[in-house]
Amino acid sequence: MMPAARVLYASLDLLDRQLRDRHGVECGNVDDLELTRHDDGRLYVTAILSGPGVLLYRLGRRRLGSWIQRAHRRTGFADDADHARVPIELASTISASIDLAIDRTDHASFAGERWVGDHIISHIPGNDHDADQ
Amino acid sequence: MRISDLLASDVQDAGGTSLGQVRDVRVVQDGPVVGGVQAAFRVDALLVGRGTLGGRLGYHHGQVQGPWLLRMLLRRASRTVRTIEMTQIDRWDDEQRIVHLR
Repeated sequence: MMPAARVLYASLDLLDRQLRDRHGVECGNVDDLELTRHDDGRLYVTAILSGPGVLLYRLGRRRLGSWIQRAHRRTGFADDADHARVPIELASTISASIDLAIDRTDHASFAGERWVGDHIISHIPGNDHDADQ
Repeated sequence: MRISDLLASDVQDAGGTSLGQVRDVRVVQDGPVVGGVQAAFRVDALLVGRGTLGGRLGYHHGQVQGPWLLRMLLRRASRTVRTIEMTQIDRWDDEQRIVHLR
């Protein structure tokens, strides 16, 4: 007898869940889910969407959210990849939080942290060593 | 497309009568294996009806059963939520955000 397949509810079990990278470091929340229609006509969840503008889109501010996503994609990372999109197969564990098989530095939410580090923290005297050194 | 587009959609029967809004989406992990890692999550059904506190707490999904007092209080609201299987759907107008049933 085949074991029953796992059943989840998007709003209850997936959306707004904490994301953690491969090292267990928190790297955002599930803001939305990408759906794709396959050749068999069925809809499948194909990616987790998380990052600047994604939640705004889900909350109804679609135009503003989409604009922020496009702007962030152009300025947040050096490559053209969409770092707010994590393919669902990289979600290794789905429970109270969702563990991803990526580094947080590859995720869209890290871009803001890196910008602050590069443009603000790096200009503060003493930023390059610990306080007790 | 995104699941938030589906969650914002109104569901209408074959006669055009609104049955409510999509409140949640049930997915089942029985699709083809992706990336050689795990089976894909297939969109299996929609939970349609009025938005209620019970739905947000999980009482409409059959997963949360207690405490019994809350379950008793929220049972009436649960009856307004219906499950629509994907096979009952004729088409989804994603511009108007309306799901049309057969």
